[in-house]
Amino acid sequence: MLPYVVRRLFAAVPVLIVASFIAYALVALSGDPLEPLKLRNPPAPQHTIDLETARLDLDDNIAVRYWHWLTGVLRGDFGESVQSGYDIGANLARSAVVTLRLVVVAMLLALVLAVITGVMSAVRRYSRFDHTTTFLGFVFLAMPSFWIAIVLKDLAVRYNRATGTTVFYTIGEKSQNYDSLSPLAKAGDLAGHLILPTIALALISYAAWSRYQRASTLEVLDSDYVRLARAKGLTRRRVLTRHVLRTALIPLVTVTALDIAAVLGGAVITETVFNWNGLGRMLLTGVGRADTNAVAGWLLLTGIVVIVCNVIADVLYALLDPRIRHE
Amino acid sequence: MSDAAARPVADTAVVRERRQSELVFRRFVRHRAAVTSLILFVLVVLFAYVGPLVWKYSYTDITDDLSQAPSLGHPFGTDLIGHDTMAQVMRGTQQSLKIALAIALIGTVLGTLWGAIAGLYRGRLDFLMMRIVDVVLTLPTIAVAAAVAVQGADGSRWWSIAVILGALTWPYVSRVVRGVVLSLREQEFIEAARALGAGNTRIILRHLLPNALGSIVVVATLTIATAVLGEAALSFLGVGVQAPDTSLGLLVSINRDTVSTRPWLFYFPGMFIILIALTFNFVGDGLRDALDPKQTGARR
Repeated sequence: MLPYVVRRLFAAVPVLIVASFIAYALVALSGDPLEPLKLRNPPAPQHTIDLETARLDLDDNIAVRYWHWLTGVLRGDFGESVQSGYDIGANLARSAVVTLRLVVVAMLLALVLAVITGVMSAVRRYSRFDHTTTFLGFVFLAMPSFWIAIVLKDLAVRYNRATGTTVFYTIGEKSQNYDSLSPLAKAGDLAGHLILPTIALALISYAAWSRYQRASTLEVLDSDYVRLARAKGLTRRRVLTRHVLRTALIPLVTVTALDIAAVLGGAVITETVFNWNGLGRMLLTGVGRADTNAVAGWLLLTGIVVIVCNVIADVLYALLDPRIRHE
Repeated sequence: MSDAAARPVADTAVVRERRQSELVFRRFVRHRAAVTSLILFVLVVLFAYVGPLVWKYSYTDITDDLSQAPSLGHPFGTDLIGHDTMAQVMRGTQQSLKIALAIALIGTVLGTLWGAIAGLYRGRLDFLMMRIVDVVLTLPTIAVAAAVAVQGADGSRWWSIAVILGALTWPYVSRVVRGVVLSLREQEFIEAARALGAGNTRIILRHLLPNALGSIVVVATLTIATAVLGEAALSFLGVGVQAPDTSLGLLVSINRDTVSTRPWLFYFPGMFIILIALTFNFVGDGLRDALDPKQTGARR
């Protein structure tokens, strides 16, 4: 197993290098990061422009600049940002904590809901419950993620206004006065800000995952060994938890891990709607300002997260399903 | 059965072929949600393309009715400067459909060829091609869109969005097609064709693709649904369709702050996005059930 994991991670290195180079080149070609400086009124002195050009390494061609960036990253230096005084490495770490909090909680919520409703609608196939959840799942799948987020936000604002309370926070990932709060209040504050974006992000994954869970449960329910377990006289509950669920959960593990890239993409949009200062804003600001180093750093971080999750999925798959072997 | 045996061989073959497609058609018709969706989708297309010819306002018209709630004169209301929202939604639906279909076309053609070649040749070529797929899947859509958007000319705006999203969609299709091809190529009829001296081109075009067609059609249908949502997301982030042209995504995006004061501006275009994506998902589901040879038609 270990050699397999190592080989997979090694194979991912060239993929990451090529992908980050393409992103780097695209962002570099998208615009001149010094344009705001040059168009400023009164115009910035030539000396300042020269200094910025030298600081950002803009005189070299893209391949050389990328090489400088890459060798810098290997030494732990993420390079200069277009925004002066902006530490890309530190901001990546801070944004990652903010965004991963949202992503992890949303994925957990989506998973729990998906397993429960997926199994229930498989067990009661073609019942009213099954039809309702199937239809709802299709509706959630068809909703743009920002649309759900905006509707939820509007509902929360209405609720807050009607009751005169702020149970749901609709702006930002924490309050302005967060640092002055007691530890308990801090946790409550973070949770209050987390509720709505989490639901918005979870609904879409939930829709797809519950469909998978339903399909895989149906397949297992129809298999001979489940029929045997029933024939042995085991109770329904025991058949379901011991025999059906153990096998039926395996496909979902893979799907969940493979979907992390999509969830991260969804988080960018959810964060925008709720004004979070996480990886989403970092990417959008970086792209908007033609900040090559920031975008390439962003891609490296998310790319590693995605690849590691994919490898974990394959390993888990092999551990859960004894028929699979990675030699 | 005895009837068929009595007929000449050529005749039986023709009858059989028709039966296969008839069977698929029957199974599809039995999928009520899929058929309803297909009808709804035709209505949406009529609304988008025939509607503007009949409706009294154009999407560029500025009327004297400012910020009006839905009424008989303006079924979807008007916006702050007097645009008729229904005319705008018609235009937006046109553009969104056009973009989504182009994305699905680009993504499906490219992804099918890529996946078929990788699956057929396997080995090093397959490994290399699949790593390229990995690279494309790692790229953040927004960065690509923003970079290309700056270069794109204003006139061919919708086209450049279709190309960007199409270029980021094909990897998903190619993975599916590769999987199908990998399992097909091991089957006897491919071996037989090869034994008869068929070249790779012939095997791909005459044997693999027709047999993989079912899966490809299903993926293409589902791709249209995601493409509509993708266009909407790009327009929401400001790197999609730009004013004065419009799309459903752009309409929702520019009206996001009016959701509590003038909700009709936000909800009507949103409903149409959901309607298009929903109908395509159901049609894809129906096609999958109808084309699946393992299905016996026992669906209720």
